[in-house]
Amino acid sequence: VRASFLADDVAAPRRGARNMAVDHALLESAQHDQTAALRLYRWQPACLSFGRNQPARGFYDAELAAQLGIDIVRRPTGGLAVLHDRELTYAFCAPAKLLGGPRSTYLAVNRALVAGLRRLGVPAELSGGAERSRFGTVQPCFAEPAAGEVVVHRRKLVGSAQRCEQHTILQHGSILLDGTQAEIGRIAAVPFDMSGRATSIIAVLGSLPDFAEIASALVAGFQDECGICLAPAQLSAGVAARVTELEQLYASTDWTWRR
Amino acid sequence: MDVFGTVEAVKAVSDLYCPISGEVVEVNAALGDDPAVVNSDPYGRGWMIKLRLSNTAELDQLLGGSEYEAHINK
Repeated sequence: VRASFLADDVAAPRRGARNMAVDHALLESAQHDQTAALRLYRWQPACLSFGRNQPARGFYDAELAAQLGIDIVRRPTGGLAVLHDRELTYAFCAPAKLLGGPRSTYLAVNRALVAGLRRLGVPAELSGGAERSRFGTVQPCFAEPAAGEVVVHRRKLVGSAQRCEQHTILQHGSILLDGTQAEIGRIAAVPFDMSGRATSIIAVLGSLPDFAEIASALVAGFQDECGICLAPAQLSAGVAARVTELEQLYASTDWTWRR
Repeated sequence: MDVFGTVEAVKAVSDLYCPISGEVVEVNAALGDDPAVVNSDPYGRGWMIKLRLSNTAELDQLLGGSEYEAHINK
């Protein structure tokens, strides 16, 4: 399977709607062309994202978010709210059969993240515990690791979510560089206690490696754990055109506040 | 097979495929607020859609609950 590595949006952070449109377009491209892709990116301005099916109306305050300069978007994937600010985000798309199905892909991607983070000196590991749904809770994603997610000393470092469509998988997630996501409580209708729940690269290492070093480590982790060779690439013209279409969906109030 | 919806388990959203042909005549909207009923009462309150079948012969090709459980445990 041909596999690409896209990292243009690390140096040039993008708005939430564009970031979700690119991930969605890469999912479609992986389905159409039977290819795999790893993308690393950042966000500007800071952006709160909801999971595809997460109830948000009445739980989060759009006006307050706007006053604080925080954008809001709804993801194509499941899970709970994330505040994308001081983080590096990954997205991985591949035919479901490449790594053995949705559950196997979830584990393989998380193992790849652990391998990449360990190259940076971060003692990351997979969270244990039983799988259970937190659907309908107002807690943010980083309040609790799901089984198999990436943690350091039991604190969540990476929050991930997945979409399986037409036998193709998109998994994306936030690697916290700094902070604990406590700011998310400022725009929520109910208070959250995020103390002791999340951790970050800076909290673990004391400083932040440069983005090229982080990207290189993560690419090596994916290549080793997923058995693929990632060739540096840019969005094709066809995918870029689809991104422009999908960006309208992800920028729409109807989609963001559908629940 | 056509996709008739999506289901979210933990944080993975997956397509739901319709295994037989027909017209959707009713949707269980209550699942939107409490989807866990699909797990706790799959043959009762956890129903998803009602279909008017266009070819009842297709039913012969479906697996029963125990057969499907055996299939996914392979």
